[in-house]
Amino acid sequence: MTRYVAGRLLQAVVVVLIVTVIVFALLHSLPGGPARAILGIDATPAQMADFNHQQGFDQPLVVQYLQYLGRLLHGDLGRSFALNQDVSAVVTQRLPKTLLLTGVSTLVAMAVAVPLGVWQAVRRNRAGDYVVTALTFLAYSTPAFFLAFLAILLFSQAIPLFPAQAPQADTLAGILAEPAALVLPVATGAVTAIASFSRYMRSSTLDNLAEDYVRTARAKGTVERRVIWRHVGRNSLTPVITMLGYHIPVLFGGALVTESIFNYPGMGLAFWNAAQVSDYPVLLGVVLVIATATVIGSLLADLLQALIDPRVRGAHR
Amino acid sequence: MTEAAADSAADSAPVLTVRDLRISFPGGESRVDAVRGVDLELRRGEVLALVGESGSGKSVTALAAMGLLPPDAQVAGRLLVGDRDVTRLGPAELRDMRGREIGMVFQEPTTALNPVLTVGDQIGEALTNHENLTAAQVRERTLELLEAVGIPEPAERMRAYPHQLSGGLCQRVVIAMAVACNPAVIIADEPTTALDVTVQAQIMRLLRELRDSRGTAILLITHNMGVVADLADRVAVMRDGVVVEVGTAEQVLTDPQHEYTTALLAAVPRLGSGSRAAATDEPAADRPPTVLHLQDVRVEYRTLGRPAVRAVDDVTLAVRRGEVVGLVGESGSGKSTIGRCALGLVPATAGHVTLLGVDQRRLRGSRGRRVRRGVGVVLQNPASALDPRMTVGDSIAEPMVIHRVGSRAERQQRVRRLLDDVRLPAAAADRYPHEMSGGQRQRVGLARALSLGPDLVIADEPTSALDVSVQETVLRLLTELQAVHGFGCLFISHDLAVVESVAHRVVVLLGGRIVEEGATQDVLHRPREDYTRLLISSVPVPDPVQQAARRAAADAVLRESARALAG
Repeated sequence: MTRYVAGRLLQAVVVVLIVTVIVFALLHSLPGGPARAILGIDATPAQMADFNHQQGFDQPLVVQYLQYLGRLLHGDLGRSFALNQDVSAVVTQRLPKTLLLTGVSTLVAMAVAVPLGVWQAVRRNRAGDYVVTALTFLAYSTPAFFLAFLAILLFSQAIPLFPAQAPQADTLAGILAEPAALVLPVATGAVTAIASFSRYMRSSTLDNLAEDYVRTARAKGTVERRVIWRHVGRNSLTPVITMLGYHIPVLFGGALVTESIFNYPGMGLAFWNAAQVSDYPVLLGVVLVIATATVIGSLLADLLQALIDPRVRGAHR
Repeated sequence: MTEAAADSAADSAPVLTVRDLRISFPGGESRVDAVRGVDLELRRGEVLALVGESGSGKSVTALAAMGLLPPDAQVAGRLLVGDRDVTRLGPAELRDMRGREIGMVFQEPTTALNPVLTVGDQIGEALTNHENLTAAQVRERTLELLEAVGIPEPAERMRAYPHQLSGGLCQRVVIAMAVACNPAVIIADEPTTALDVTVQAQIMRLLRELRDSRGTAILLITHNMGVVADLADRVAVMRDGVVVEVGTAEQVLTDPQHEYTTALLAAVPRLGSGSRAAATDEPAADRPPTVLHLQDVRVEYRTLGRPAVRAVDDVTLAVRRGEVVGLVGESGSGKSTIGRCALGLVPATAGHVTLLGVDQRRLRGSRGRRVRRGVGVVLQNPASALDPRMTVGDSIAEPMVIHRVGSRAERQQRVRRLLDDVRLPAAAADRYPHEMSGGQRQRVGLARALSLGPDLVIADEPTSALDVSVQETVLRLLTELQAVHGFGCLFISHDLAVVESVAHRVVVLLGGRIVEEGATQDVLHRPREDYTRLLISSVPVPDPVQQAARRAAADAVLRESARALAG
């Protein structure tokens, strides 16, 4: 197990390094380069050359990349000139909030999707399964922004149950102090995830229900409920968990929409605003953070899978 | 009545009674009758073998006795376990009956166990399903069960997961679960079919011991007449959903009354029923050319961060034109890897592979294509070896299309001739694989392998997915075609009797190494090595008297080698 974890960690580090290379390359292909971006369109070539020399931009690319990597290791993601703020400051301010929103909505989604998928699989091709399938297809094909507007119209305007705006507090504690205001953003994020994950869970459960070991469990007189949850459930969860790891970028994509609609001050909103003013350092900083989060997510998914499935552990011993 | 008399009266009451059982499944417009009026009786301590080929309804009957048929099956008739009719029980009563009164052992031990639960957990569940036990009691009983089914180091194995155990050990675990609550009946559905012969012999020994020590009645479902001869007291022969013959094992196997039973027994390849003679020692110059030559071939599988697994270890063998070389061995012996290596699908880590006189490593580009034209392949599972979206004719013609042989009309003509060669009607060319039976599909596979008139055919377990009667026709076809076309053939199989009937020479493998090789009649009738002897004596023959003698001989070989190891 230790060996498996170590190997998997090493892989993750390599992937993150590759991501930094790509982001570095993108930073370098910015129109006019950083000098133009910072000095403005009035800068003379001499001023730009001078600036490039001072900043070390005239050094070989490899050296520059290593310097960039060194800065990243010290938490320096560059500087946003639009916000006149360090990118890392933007990230540390915003990331926890986005993690809170996406984390809670993913938890909610899994808590609903897993039992729902199993329930559907057990009632395969019966009325209940068809109804839920239709609903999940509808939810899956509804764009997040439309869903968000619908939620606001219905549950904030027509029936004023929840506020239309997400909590605006600066701290996590402050946000958690307004749970009612979190309901609509969390629900909007969860609905699409429920739609896709209940489908995965349904087909994975169906596959497992056809397995020989299910027949064995029944043949020794195991109660059906136990067959479903102890035997089938655990085996069906592994592919869903893998999907969850790769689902992280989708979650951030969804956060982009929900955060801007509910005006929630997270990474998504920061990215949205940065995109509108071509604030490349922030955009690329966010890309780097999300890519790293995806790598960490799939790493966690693999470790979780190793925890559930002994064969995964064994394969790397 | 005395106590003893009461006991014998209880003994003689059947533990499983099947009366006029009829089972049908929905299929197309009408229902398909899988079982059409079956009567069976099984008494305490008795082994009743239910034999028949695929589609005979034997497994459906077994699943019905467990109440495990799919919900769309319609069941009529009576199916008594003890005195309760399974067909009339509700879900809760069925659940209570399964495991406590009737247990089941399945064909494929590795998939019959849940991969994410430990062996101990799964056996413990069989106990706690029916009894209220403390954790300590469950542990103790699980250990006892593991010991009873002959699993070494039970305390460690309890914590193991199924993938950490061999197929034979997994089957022992499945048997432990089946007998956990001491049921009166065990249904064993092809319990040894997925196992190697030496392991099969061990599992049969275990089942016999359990029957003797616990008085458990066993309904043994199998297609293997040797297993029947080894284990069964009585035999019921099924065909198309009806029992065509019932009797004692000796009677049915040695003096069958029904013509189907006679035909079935005649189709069983028997070890020792004569083999093809190997080429005599002609002067080297006159011998036909070597079509496949492996020289000191070693194949290793490497995984990052793990020691390499050596699947094939310094193997040297040659196949000449016109001869069939049988490659036998148990699972993990490397026999399939050698086949794949000969085809260039797996690179040799060391040594040389020469295919039709050309070094494997120089088989690139057009030269490689030209050489490969001379090689045909037949694989084990004809259902998955044929593209389901291609017609049979297209499948057979594909090698010709790839190698740009002939015009369209010529190819069609050749397809017709090949179909005729494998005794299929010309109309079969327009059919799809799913419209054919397993035997027909394998004949298509054979026709495709011969499509380019190969000098070498590599056949990897070509008949092990087929019923015996079908196997017989495919094997006869293969030998006939081989004699006519004169190609060399590397015939890979785990079945010694099959190899005996087709091969001129035999190579015996164990753990990636050649143990023994030579002319078929020498190796299989006068083996020099202990392992070959053990392999041969483990194959059960379909004659109860002979089989008892063979079993004794196998035990002697085992004892001898144990003594040799100790000494």
